[in-house]
Amino acid sequence: MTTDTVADQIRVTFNALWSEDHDEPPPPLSDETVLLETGFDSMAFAVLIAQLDDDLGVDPFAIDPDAEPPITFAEFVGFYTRLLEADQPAIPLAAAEPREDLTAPAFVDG
Amino acid sequence: MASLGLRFRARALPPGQVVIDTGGARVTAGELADLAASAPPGCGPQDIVTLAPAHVGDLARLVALLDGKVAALRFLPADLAAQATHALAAPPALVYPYEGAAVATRWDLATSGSTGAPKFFAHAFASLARSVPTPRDRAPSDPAQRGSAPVWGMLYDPCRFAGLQVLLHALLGGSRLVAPAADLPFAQRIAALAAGGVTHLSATPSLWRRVLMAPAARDLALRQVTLGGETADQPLLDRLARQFPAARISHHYASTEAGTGFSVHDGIAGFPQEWLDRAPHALALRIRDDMLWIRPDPQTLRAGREALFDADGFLCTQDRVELAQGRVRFLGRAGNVINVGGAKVHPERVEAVLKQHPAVLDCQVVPRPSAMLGALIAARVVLDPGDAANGAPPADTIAALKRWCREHLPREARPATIEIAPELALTRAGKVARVPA
Repeated sequence: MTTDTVADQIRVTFNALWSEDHDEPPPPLSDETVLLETGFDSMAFAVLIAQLDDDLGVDPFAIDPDAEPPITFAEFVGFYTRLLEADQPAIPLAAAEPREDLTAPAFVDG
Repeated sequence: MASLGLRFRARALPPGQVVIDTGGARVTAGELADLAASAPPGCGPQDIVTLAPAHVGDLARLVALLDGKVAALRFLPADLAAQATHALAAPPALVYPYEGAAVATRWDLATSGSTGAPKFFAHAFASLARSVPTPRDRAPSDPAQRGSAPVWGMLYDPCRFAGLQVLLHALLGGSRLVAPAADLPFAQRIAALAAGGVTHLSATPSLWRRVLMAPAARDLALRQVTLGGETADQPLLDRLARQFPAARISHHYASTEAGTGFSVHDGIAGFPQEWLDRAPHALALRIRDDMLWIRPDPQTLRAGREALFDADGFLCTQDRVELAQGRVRFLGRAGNVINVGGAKVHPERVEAVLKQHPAVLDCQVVPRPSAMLGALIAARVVLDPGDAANGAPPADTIAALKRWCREHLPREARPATIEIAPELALTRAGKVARVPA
């Protein structure tokens, strides 16, 4: 997956989430766009990252929670491309890594 | 009377009458009366006996034989039975009539343990059987009791609290029990209950939603619908009232720790606010720190859990409640709260909002780890097969549900992701499996 493809996928997801909460069109996302100036707050970014986890099959911020937080859109995209290129799977991304099933019963309730 | 066997014998049923029908096996009244009158081989009033029966028929036989004659009965649920090394699965061969005096046998029931070994709570037969109406005191005006003798259906593990309640109703309350094998596919179990003429059925709200999805649900002629083990929400109570118009609908609230509970019969979620002044069943209820506190009647055993009760005899149920429109409504378990960036979210409240949407039959809300906020809300929904919008593209349904949540929930409580699932994972007790937040 190239950087451009990843960036496009993130834009699609960003725009979809944006339109859920806003009537005006989403801001254009260029490499230099500062994330904090997009109008998305930390809750919105947390939701974006969760949605990208479902769409791309990876959550780079869960893998390295101590990483320097991205400031620009290009840096944000970089988190995903580094991870996806490192994996370089020949199989579809969604099937590459079994993800933890949050809904599996962790205990038996009486 | 002090024991199940004595109370059962006092009913003096015809010996050939079938009291339990498991599909493969039948238990007659005469068989249970003989067991109740026999000495249990190899054990006496000092012994604690662990029971791991394969089905409810053998459980009834074991309890008829042992209750009132041993110190304690320990009931192993099916999922724990494999761990048992010294457990009785069925009654041994009988030799002697029992000539000793009846002792007060303690009933040890497994309760929710988050991990590892199960916890057992001690109960007294008298308090377990208290809510069972005897055939004599059935009120003719009560629609659930009118007409021919009730036939109870069993969907629970009979070795857990809720299942034992159903068994006691069947053995003491003048009814027959139909108990299809627990390993049958769920839809077939419902078909077996319908074929067995079941009129009274108790299940968790999660199981009731599955019942409503079973084709044979329309063949169930229920006069009593009982919900317990989880909070009964209004959309489900309304659906059940539509599906079973002839039934009385009761939702049961139980506190395992307090060893007691109460039933609400008006079909409205929560319970009447007046009960805070005057509660049924010799209980007392009050709200402190947004939690429900309960004071059980003095018959209830407290051995081993005295420390849970305050000086006035009240115990904190860990259930958070609110007052609304003359009702006390349940918000959720204190321990289930999900912390979303510092905001506390009750998953049960999010579930209640989703369930009010006409397309949703059932749903489960769980925490989803988030590096930014600690946790987010994730929802998994089962769509109502009877809803007109069923068949719409999943993306449209999810978008509609997200809009619904935006209208009805504060931002932190809105699911970040919604997934459509064919069914939910349930625990052995028939409750939605929850992940500790």
